[in-house]
Amino acid sequence: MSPELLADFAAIAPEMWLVGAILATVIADLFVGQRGRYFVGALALAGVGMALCKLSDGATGGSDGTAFGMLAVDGHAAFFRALILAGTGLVILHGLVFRGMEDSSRNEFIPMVLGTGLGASLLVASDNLIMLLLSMELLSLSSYLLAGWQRKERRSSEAALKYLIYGAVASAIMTFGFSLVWGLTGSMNLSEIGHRLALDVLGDNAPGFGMVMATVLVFVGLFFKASVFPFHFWAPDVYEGAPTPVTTLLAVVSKAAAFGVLVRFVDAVFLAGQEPYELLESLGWIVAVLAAVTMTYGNITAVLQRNVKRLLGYSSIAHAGYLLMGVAVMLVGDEATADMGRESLLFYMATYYLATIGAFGCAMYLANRFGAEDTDDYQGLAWSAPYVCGAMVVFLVSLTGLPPTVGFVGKLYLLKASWAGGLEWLAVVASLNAVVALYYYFKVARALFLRGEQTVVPGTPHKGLVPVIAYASLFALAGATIWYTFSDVLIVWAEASPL
Amino acid sequence: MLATLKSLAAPLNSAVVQVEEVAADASVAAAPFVERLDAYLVVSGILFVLGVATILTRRNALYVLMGTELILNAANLNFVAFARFGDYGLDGQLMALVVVMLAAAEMAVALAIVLRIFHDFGSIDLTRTDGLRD
Repeated sequence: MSPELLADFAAIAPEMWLVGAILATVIADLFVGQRGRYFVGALALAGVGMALCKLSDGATGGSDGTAFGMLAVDGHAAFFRALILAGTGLVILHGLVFRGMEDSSRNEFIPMVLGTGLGASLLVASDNLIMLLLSMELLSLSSYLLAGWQRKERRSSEAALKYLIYGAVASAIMTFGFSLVWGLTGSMNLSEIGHRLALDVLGDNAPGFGMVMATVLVFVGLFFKASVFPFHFWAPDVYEGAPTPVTTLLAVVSKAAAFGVLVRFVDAVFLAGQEPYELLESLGWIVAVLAAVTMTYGNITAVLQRNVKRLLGYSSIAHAGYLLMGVAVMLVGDEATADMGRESLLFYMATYYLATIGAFGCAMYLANRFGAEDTDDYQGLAWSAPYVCGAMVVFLVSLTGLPPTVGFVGKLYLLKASWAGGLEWLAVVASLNAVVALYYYFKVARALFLRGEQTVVPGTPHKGLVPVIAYASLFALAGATIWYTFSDVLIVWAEASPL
Repeated sequence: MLATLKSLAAPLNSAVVQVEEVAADASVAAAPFVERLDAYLVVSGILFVLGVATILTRRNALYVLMGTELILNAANLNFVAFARFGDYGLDGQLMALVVVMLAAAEMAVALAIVLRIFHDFGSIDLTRTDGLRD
């Protein structure tokens, strides 16, 4: 093989390890059957771990930072791939202990989650429309199936159908948008599209209505994955109906992939030139308004919810709004503030990641042990499971954005970037939203600690090594969330992840 | 219902008018209709609108999925037409093949899920499979 080809393969080493893990788990499943599900899980986790270790090799890039002319292997991709791989591993770990999934389907669950992770990690590195579409579909198709993984639950089938219908429509519209982008610019490569648009702007031939249309159509697909306001309808229903580990997968891995590729698309296509132009201004305003509407809608509707998974679903819509602030700053601000917007988005994504995986993990623990799903069922559970409930409160505080958690620092950076980027009103809307968020997050914490009878209910606790490891991961996440200086590590990492 | 149908049909009517206008232009420009890019774009636009109209009006899950297929076909027609007339290389043809394959894969997954829904709910009417709501 030629050295260039070898370098290209080195750049996608993490994905190769994931593919290897998928094959290994499928084959191992044939031999060990249901009894060996911890073995299959360990195999998958080993694959994910190897992929994480190989991540730094690829960061240097194959031939000039790209692999096969399809993937951009840069710091941005490495940041999101690390988040995605870590999320995939934790989802597999939690899937092993989730009650409510039949043991017969647990082994096939693992390669399917790995497939979702593979699609997501290719998506955040895609530098080409063909690759973008293919990896997006790999991510989507496996998550449609995962949403319906509980065979005996009607809710789960319904979640799968809703996700499928909305997802199929969004991805079809996005494909139509791709065809227009390609027709208008003549290139499938994102950076090449950006250069041609920049040349057009220099030649006094700024992109017109057609390009706005095409971009809006592409954004439909990306915003759907990120659950941004007019395309969020699937999120609460699917989050409630899907098995809890899958809900975690959708809330973190799928969302990280969507924002990773959205930032890359915006940066490569629209920020390639020096001159700001009209299209950019109007797109920036559309995105800023959508960010404001998304966070307000998510927070206000979450107040009305009783089911905790659904409540966290609306909260994840609200967080999509906060994250979108970063994209709006990229489009509206100048070069320096655009970088600030992108870095604060990355940092916020990391803090959201910690708290969301943790919150869904705690919800899974409480559902496993006590069968509790609603805030009414949560009453007084802190007396029976004080540590997990304490961790839950830490995650909720971080999601609200109060000190001393990383979520507070994340919001602070986002507000700062938004203020510097000339979107002062958006910063004000976001801070007001945090007040609304405090109300419903506190509602859950109050049910756990302050309501109900102060008696110990044994429930049906889990025994064995794997459940202990799975639940210990929650405390590790809680520790990272409340450890104030950990945010320094994350922010340095985000700043060292250039596009 | 009738009002929404009529409002949905409005862009269709305008698209038909557009086709006629383009046809009139074509006879003036002397180039045969099938050798003009706009002809393909108009057809793909009509397909797109038909797809969206199907998705918005039909309540049967299979019809909605067929609507998405129409949109994908519209995209494919665009890709192939731009590849033929735009002198952009073979990327568009490649993408068209990829889209055909993806649509097939998506339908395989979709039919499996629709079968499950029929098994659980006894219907694939989207208004009847709506147990999860606020």
